[in-house]
Amino acid sequence: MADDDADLRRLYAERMALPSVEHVSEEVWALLASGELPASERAQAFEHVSRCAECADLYRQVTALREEAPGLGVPVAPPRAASAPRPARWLFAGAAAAAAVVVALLWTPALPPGPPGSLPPDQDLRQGGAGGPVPLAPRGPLTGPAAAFRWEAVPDTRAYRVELLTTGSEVVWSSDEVHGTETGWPPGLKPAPGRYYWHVGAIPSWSAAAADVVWSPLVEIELPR
Amino acid sequence: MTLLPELTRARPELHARFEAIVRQYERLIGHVVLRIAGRHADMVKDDVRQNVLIALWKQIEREQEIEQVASYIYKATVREAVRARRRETERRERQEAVPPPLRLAGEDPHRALDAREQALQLEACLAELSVERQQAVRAHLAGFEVAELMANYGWSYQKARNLVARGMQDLRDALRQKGFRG
Repeated sequence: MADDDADLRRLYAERMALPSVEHVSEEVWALLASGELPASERAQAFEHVSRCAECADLYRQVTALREEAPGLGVPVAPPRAASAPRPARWLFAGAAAAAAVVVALLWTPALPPGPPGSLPPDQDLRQGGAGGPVPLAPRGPLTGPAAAFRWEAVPDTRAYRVELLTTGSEVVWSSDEVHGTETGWPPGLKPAPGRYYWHVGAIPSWSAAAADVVWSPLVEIELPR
Repeated sequence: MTLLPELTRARPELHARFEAIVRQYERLIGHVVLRIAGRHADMVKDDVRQNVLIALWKQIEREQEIEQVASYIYKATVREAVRARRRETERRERQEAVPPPLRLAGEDPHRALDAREQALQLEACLAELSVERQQAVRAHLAGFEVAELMANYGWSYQKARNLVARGMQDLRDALRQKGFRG
């Protein structure tokens, strides 16, 4: 996708470079750097970051700094769980009136529910939603080689499939169909140390179509050196 | 220790504590400034350091307990470094006095205007997308990976990918309808 989008990305860079009246405030950057920014405000800040070249560059530096902070002796809070949106009047520096407009724009109300049984647009409830498998292990930083992927069973499931992905969403490894709630780490699978995600998909007993696979949320793991 | 000598030595009972903290976190301050201010670091590092230390001294002088000294100095330095970076950027832009989009597009003014016109067309098409698709597409075009969308918007992996893919398709359709020739 990235190569096809190169021209549009160049064009969007021109648009991002247009001067912006507001920017993410210093206080928000400090909280983001320390991992203390609540999820709702993180989303608001990131929305602005996606439109503003100056803040996008700063975001990349602050994100890198947050990764480095433990090595500098600074404890960094893990990301906060998502919470309901709340006012963030201090989110953007700039005139109060302009900030009010921005906040109003950012507070887009949730889409009204559709008819019974319908899915809201783009909300793929099969993926990581209710009813999906619950990954048990491995999770977080690993001290040694992972022994196996384990998860909780899902009713009416014929088999499962496990995927290991890079942080750039490339699939590193995909299992064959697994009958049970565990599959061993493949002996030949030795990705480079670093962060990865894995998830497990439940293949329902009534369908073999890929679109009907119910995926778990992604679980972050960190492979040791 | 050459900064704030008059202030800190006026309170000798606190001076030693202040100096010890400064010595301990000097490297942290320098690292944060370098990371945040980037190419402006040399220009702003002294100002940032001074402002952080003044804030720290005020805390100590009030004899207020600082729960996590490292976190306090870290966040104070981020705030000051962001402020200093912005001041420096604005100062340089005023000096150059050329609108950034024109600079980005190169020397040819016709090409620059053409690029700006296309960027405005793109913006109009983006504005037509649904809120979530617009968020996903903007982040994607800005060069962020799916993991960033997941972390910041709380989306699942699949949802983020779907929004990017569908949003990009919508965007291309909208651009074609407007006769976009990019």
